[in-house]
Amino acid sequence: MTIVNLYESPALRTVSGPVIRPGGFALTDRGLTRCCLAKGTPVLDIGCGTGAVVDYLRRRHCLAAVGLDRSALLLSEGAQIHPGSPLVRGQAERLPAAAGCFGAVLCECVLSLCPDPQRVLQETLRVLRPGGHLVLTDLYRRGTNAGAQTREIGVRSCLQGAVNRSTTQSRVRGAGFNEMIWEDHTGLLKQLAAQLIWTYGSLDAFWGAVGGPDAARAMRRREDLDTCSRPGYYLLVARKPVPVQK
Amino acid sequence: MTSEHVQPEDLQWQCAKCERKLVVGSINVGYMGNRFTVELPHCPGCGRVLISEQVALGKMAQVEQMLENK
Repeated sequence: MTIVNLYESPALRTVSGPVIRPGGFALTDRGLTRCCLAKGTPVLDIGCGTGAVVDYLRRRHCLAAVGLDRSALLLSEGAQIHPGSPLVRGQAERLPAAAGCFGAVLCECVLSLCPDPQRVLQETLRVLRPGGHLVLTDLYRRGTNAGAQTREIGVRSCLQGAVNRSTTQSRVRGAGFNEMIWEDHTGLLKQLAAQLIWTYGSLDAFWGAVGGPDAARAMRRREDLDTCSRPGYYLLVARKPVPVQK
Repeated sequence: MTSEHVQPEDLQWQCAKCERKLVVGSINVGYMGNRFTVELPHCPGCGRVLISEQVALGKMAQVEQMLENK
């Protein structure tokens, strides 16, 4: 069976808009209010897609934002939509950036898609300045971790890699971050699901539009697991420790 | 008709209060603290919305069920 990347699917993007996740720019803004970034601060957006947030950060917040994504399709579209915008292709597990060069790193609805999330967090810590912030938004499991990191079936989406709150926070702490803020934004995930149902008639029909009947059948099996794990959405802001001066 | 969940006959209705023909447009819907935007027929004067039986028992019921799942 062909695996479809949900984040590349027009079926999702027509409903979610260019940010391709719940919450839109408002959730990014909420995370940034915790960071107190000066104008011109270098910011990295991991999983930038077509670069909508990068463009928003540069125009609205006057930040020196750059984007990284693994999808050639989305980057190619981004180059047309935002010509001249600094978007590069690469893997979150191997960030093509020097150590300590960013004041903040955004990673929105991406970590749960990464095969090695711990490595991504370590890389993020490496490229942040001391005192720099990680702004993480993603799906999480409000119930058990059952079904997390299972084989990809039909559609590659954040549902597969989502884990519960304690696992997420342990991973972030384990990478070396501190001063963590956690907020639940499950309502935003429900809003997106509501828009998808309204547009397609049902979530089943939506998965069908994403990847055809096989994908819909596969995702229906997943939904049984997801009912137990109760998908939610979170915002987490963490900080890279500042070395203590002797 | 601008949307698949708005039937031509929906636009035959007129608002009882304003006596104006209904139009299709974006409506902000709230349910259990969640807000989302949908295209529905409504009165361009007072904003009163027409929700047909088909919509109420179809998509709207599905959305409600999803939002009610804790």
